[in-house]
Amino acid sequence: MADVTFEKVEKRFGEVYAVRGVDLAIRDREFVVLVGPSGCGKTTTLRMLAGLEDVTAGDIRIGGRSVTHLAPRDRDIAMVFQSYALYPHMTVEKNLSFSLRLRGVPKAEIDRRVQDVAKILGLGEHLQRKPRQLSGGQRQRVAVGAALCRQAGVLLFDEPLSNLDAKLRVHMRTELKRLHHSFKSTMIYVTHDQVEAMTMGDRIVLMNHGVICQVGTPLELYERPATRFVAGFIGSPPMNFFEARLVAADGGAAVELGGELRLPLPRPELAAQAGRPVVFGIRPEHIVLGEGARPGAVRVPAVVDEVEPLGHDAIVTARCGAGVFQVQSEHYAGVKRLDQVDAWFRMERAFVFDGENECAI
Amino acid sequence: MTGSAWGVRWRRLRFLLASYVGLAPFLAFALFPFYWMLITSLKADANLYDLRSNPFWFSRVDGATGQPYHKDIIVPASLTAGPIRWEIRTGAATTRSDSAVNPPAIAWIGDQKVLSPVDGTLAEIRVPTGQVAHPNEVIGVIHVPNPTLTHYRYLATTPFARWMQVSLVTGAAVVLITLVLAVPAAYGLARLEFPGNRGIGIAIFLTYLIPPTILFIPFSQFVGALRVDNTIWSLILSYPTFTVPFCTWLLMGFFRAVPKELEERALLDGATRLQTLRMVVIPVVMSGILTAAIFAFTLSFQEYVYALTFISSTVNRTLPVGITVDMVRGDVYFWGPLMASAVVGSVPVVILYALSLDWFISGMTTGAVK
Ligand SMILES: Nc1ncnc2c1ncn2[C@@H]1O[C@H](COP(=O)(O)OP(=O)(O)O)[C@@H](O)[C@H]1O
Ligand SMILES: [Mg+2]
Repeated sequence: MADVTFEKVEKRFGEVYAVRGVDLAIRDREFVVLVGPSGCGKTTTLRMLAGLEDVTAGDIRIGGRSVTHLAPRDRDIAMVFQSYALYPHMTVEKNLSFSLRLRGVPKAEIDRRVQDVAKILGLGEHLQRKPRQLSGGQRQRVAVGAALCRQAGVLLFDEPLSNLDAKLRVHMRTELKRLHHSFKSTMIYVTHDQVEAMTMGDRIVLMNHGVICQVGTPLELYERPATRFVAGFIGSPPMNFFEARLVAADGGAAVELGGELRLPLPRPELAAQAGRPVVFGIRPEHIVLGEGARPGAVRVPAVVDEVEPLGHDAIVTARCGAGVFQVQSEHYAGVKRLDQVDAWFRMERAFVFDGENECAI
Repeated sequence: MTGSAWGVRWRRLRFLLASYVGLAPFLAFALFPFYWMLITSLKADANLYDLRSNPFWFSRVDGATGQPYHKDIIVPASLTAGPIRWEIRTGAATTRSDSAVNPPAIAWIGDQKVLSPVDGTLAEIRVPTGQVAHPNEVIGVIHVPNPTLTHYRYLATTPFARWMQVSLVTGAAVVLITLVLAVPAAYGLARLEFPGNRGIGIAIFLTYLIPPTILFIPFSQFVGALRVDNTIWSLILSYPTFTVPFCTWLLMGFFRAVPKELEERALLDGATRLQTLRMVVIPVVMSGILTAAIFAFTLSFQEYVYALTFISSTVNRTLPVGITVDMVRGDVYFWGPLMASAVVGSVPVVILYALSLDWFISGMTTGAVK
């Protein structure tokens, strides 16, 4: 059993908090993605779990056993470093088997595991090469393979794909997911890329400024973001935000943007809080252009600033009285700069966040 | 098809040519001293001190007279006339007059010796055995071959081999001591965090900057107190005082260049700190350690001041001291033997460099990260 628990874990570098009050429970054999902007404390969290960084306060447990004060090698953890960290003087085979040799695993067993991993990762022909004779993608595979060979209870990845080109990255994403299904390890994967997080994680842990903002499945984070930050971080292109005020209208509730534009909300209970300053948010994919209007959508007249066609759809940047927003729409044929268009806001998919603490309402 | 293939080949050739043309001035600059050393060591003295000959190459004829280099065998003015006796035949080799305590005689007049002035081959005997020779008479001619190995043959008559041995043993011992002390020190200073880390690193470098010419007097007191004066131990113990700081400083740079992740991965893989050092860090900085070893060896191989002052017996001299004491007499420089010693003396260093060249070329951490 390799379930991982963080309890009020804290890390300070001098006076600066890198990680604060992290409480997190990761189940055995789960694939969890730690995501957040650069400098938010993801790597620090991972390194504390690995034992490469002291914990300032709190407790970390693996399989129910506290590892907070154990040496890295006693934690049953393998790690794939962002820089790969291959031993340059060893062949691929020696790189893969290094930890097994140190741990005194019998020769036959080492050979079997190295062959297995080499086969799965397509490294069979390169076993006798040195790292410098490999391409970037192959080095990355060796790094992953070395961690897999260990068959450690917990496998850590620190941005393992960030040095690959875009195409290889997408390929390795699927590959790693597949490996997770066939290996029995708990995997914790760090990335700053929300697309990677969405596509790979069983669950996502979103961090910012050293604290956890929200934990949940990709869909939960997408559909029920707890804060404005989560809503803005998950999804591409990012959600549109407007400063707004809650108002009562026609027996229901509405948001008033920029003092003139009134958009009715399908949430009558908010009418009681009329006057409260809020942030109104709606994703580009939940705004429809022109004739694509649906029941429940509200018309907002706008002027087109920019059209970026992607083929199937386009990202249209438009301006209304309340500000600039982006639309992701299939109905972009014939739309050009400075056109007058009708943008239809699908209010049932809209979000309202508190104007002060930015929590979802 | 062929046209474009030729084009490619021509472009590649042009690139090669350009590379070599660019490299040529540097090569000429770097190799000229070695060239000079080598031809000087092979020139006969007659050629060496012939100011009218082309100094960049060997000459066979005297610049002044236009005759081939030769030496007349002249009866010294102090000898009285008398019947001459030859024991060697024309065509036989003569040895250098300065190569033995008593230079070999080439002829006798009565029981007095006519000495051979220079080495070469006896070309002509003008006064056959039994005839009378007079003071100042030219009785024979010796041909001086050029280029010649005479300076190298001369080395065999000096304690050159012994000096070489002393220098090599000292160098090897100093390298060993230096690495044993400098490798752990450099690793500690480069990687472990402790108070005063930076200060100690800089202090170590500063000790290297103190010139040996200031230190040799206090050092000779130590050497005397330890009763190792006049032995090779005086050098083996004093050379590390400059090789250890220098190599520590040098190695710190190499250790710093090892990505931290490599060690962290080793720790996660199950290695202890010592195993990490032995199985990962040291193999990765092997080129640095070899560099340090070569520096330590070269520094002690060429050291002069300590070797001159701590050792006075001829047989325990190091190569540089032995050569300069034996082959510079007063203000006379025996350029041929000096240069021959330099050529032979640089052989160990050349071998050392050649053996470790592969390590330098292959680079250090290529492929470790990214
Ligand atoms: N060794 C360190 N010394 C001081 N500050 C550090 C150190 N490592 C990380 N930090 C700080 O801790 C914060 C979190 O860093 P990190 O965990 O590397 O972020 P992430 O991996 O999410 O980009 C950053 O502000 C960073 O500057
Ligand atoms: Mg990071």
